[in-house]
Order: sequence, then C-alpha cells, then structure tokens
Amino acid sequence: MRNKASILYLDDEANNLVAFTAAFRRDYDITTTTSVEEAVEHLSRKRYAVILSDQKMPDISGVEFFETIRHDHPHSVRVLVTGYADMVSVIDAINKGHVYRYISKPWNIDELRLCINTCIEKHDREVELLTKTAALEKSNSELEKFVYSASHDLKAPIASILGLIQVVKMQNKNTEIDPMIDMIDTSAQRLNSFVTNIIHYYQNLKSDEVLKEVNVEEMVQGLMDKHRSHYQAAHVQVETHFAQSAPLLVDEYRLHIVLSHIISNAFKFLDPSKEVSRINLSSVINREKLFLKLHDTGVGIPADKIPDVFDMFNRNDPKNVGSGIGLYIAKESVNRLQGKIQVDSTQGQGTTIVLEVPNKG
Amino acid sequence: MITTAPLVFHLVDDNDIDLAVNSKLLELSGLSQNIRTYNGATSFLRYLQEHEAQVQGQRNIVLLDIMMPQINGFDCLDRLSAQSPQLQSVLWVYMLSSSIDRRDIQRAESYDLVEKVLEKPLDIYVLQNYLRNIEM
Repeated sequence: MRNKASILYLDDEANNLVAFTAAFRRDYDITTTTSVEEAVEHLSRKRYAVILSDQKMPDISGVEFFETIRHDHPHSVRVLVTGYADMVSVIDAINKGHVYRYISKPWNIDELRLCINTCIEKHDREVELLTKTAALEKSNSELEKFVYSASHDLKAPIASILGLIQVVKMQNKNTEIDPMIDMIDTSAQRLNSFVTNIIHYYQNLKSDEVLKEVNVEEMVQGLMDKHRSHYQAAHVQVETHFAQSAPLLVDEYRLHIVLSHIISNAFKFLDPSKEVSRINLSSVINREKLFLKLHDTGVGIPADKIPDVFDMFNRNDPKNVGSGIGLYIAKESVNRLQGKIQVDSTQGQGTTIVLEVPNKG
Repeated sequence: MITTAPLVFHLVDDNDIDLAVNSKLLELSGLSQNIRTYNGATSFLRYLQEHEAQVQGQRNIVLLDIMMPQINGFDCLDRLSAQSPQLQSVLWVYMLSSSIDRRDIQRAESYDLVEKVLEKPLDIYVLQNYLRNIEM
C-alpha cells in the first residue's frame, strides 16, 4: 500500500480542524494547527503534499500565509479554505499562483476529498518530474565529465606514441618499414585529432569567456609553424601580412581554436598535383574588429558542398580521414566570439576563408 | 654577453617514455648534445642546488611537464621562483602538457620564468623557433 499523503491544515478555529481530522484521518497523514508559527515549524520538519489554510485568521490571512511559505515550499500544493465571501482576494491569489484551489466552508466531504486528491496528484507529478529532471541533469553532467576526462587521459599516451614515431622516423631509413611507420603515424595523427576535437568542442561549450589582449601575428606564426611541420609541408609558400591600428581584445582560447582549424585545413587540403602551393593569410585589426583572410591554393571544395562545410560530421572529400567536426567546432567558436566566418572556394583552384571577430577592447 | 655559453636541456617528466622520446628528439635534431633527464621535480631541484655554479655558466632550457605526481609542474615553478635572481636569469622554462588546458596555460603564463606552454609531443621545429631568441 502506498504511503498516505501528508496534509497540513492551518485554521484558527479548532472545530474545523477536529472535523477535518475526523473525516479524513483514514485517507491522509494529517497535521493540524491553529497557529501560524506552529505551521511554519511543521513545514520546516516535514514535506507536505498539500497545505490547507483558512483565509480569515486574526493575525494573517491565508493568502498572506501562503505568500510567506511558497518560496521555501514550492512543491506543496496550496488550498485556501474560506467561509468568508471575500472572492476578490481569493481570485487574486489564484491568479497570482499562490493558491491552486479554494474550498468554501462549510465543505462537502466528497468534494473536499476530490479536491485534495487532485492536489496530491499534482504534487506527485511535479515531484516526479523534478526527480527525473535532476537525474537527467546528473547523468548529462557525468557524461560530459567522462568524455572530457577520458579525452584528456587519452591524449597523454597518444602524445607519447606520436613522439616515438617521430624519433623512429628521424633515425630509421628502411624502405620496407618506413611506409608502415608512415601509416602508423597517419593513424595516430587521426586518433589525436579526434581526441583534440572532442576537447575543443567541450571547452568551447563549457568555458567562460576570458578576454585578453591577443597577439594575432604570434598566434598565426605559431600555428603555421606547427602545421607546416605536422603536414611536412616545408615546400609550401606561406605569406602572411599583418596590419594593426588598435590592440585586440578577444577570447584568446576560442580564437586559437578557430585559427587552428582553418590553418590546419589549409595545409591538410593542399593539392599535391600543383607545382607551387601557396597559403596567404592577411589580418587587419582595428578598434572594431579583427578581419582575417586565409587563402590557399589547395584542392578546393565543390560548389554544391560549400553550404554544408560547417555542418557537424560533414566530410566533403572521401579521402579526407577526419571526423568532419573541425569546421563545425570552428564555426561554434566563432559564434561564441560573436563573429562571422565565410567560405569561398573553387574546386581545383583553392579556398578562401574570411573571418571577422569583434574587438571587445 | 656570452651567447656562446653551452646550451643545456633539462627534461623533467615522470613519464619515462616521454623523457626518452624528448631527449632523443633533441639529440637527433642536433639542438644540443647536452641533455639531462629527471623523472621528477625533486631530483631536478636537487641538481640545481648541488651544481649551482655550473648551471650559472650555462643557458638552461627546462622542459617541465605539468602533470606529475607529488611535485607537479606548478609546484616546481613555485620553487624555482624562490631561487636567486641570478639562477633564475639562466633558466628558460617551457611547460609541457599532452592536453593543453586553457586554465593551465593561463596559470603557466602568469610565471615570469615560463617562456611558453608546449603541447606534447614536443615539436622540435616549433621549439627551435622559440629558442632563437634565447641569449644571455
């Protein structure tokens, strides 16, 4: 048998309390009191599904009483009992949401029971919803924490593997083994970029905006160096141009995520059939914004695929081994920077990315 | 004054594989043949203490892992920051981390001693570029 629902009834006329208890003690777990202080005291010790209160009491009205307790006990369903034809204040209380139902005295036992049962159902539904929401939030946040810490834990051994591959590559020259080392390298790089992307995705999602004066030139040079060596693209002609008339204040980390993905793509999608490969990057910073244009002479994107490049898990090139999440993360980060990013591309000729990010300085 | 002072690398990392990898990479890259490895901050700090005079005459590049048991990279930085200014002036610290966490970067950059936070695996090309500016 299910537990009897707890009901608290406050009324300055003890007779009403006695009558109520006599009528309902078998149905509900009833607490009654004639004193407001005592009612508050009861509420602090136990959770009640339904609270009934008389409207007309010497020190305080029922509506006022409900107002004082509704904040601390939002899930107890409130019922006003009134023998007093003060409809204006009752209607007002119902409209303001302080009172769920009202019962007029003298009550009809069956009607009152029906009313209380409705209130109990409402209470149970709300509590159930609350419990489920809390459980959902908990599992959601645990999942996020798990993904985040798992990605971080995965990074360390992957970094060791990548380092070892580098060492082997620098030492060993063996025509039979080298291609396999290259394949191990490619696979490890892929794994690394999946995991990095997951970390970027969560950090973009979770971290607060931290404004900082950013040296774009240094950031770009660092990323160019990193990806040039990463993609073994020493032959690529990289040209950069920087103009700045005001300090740039932005969320450095998110800007780094964006630049990292677009610069990485410029190197990743180089066209090996071209004699000369070029990557041009120009950046103009003024008081309003950072305007950055990145052009490459890579393989380009087919016209019909351009609208989808920022979608999650979109991969244009069947040879592209990535997860297709890079530009999606870049776009999400641009959104958080309140900026704009656009792609223009001609297949076989190259791609141009235009990035605008407001200067918060 | 003496830019020709010997360039010595101090690799501090609890992970033996990463120590081996990074010292091999430095060796093969020809950046320096003078590479010392420590499997924890304690032994590195002890070395500095015991060989202070020698260390003073070198350009010391410290590659310091952030995530280490007992004394982590930041604890080690705190202790280095308490050393004499003369000693600090011959140290160039690069923090290493396999997962570049933005809080770690912010924290590391708040130390005067720290030149840069680098991602593992060590990218010799990137490091080489940073090292160009190191003079005594």
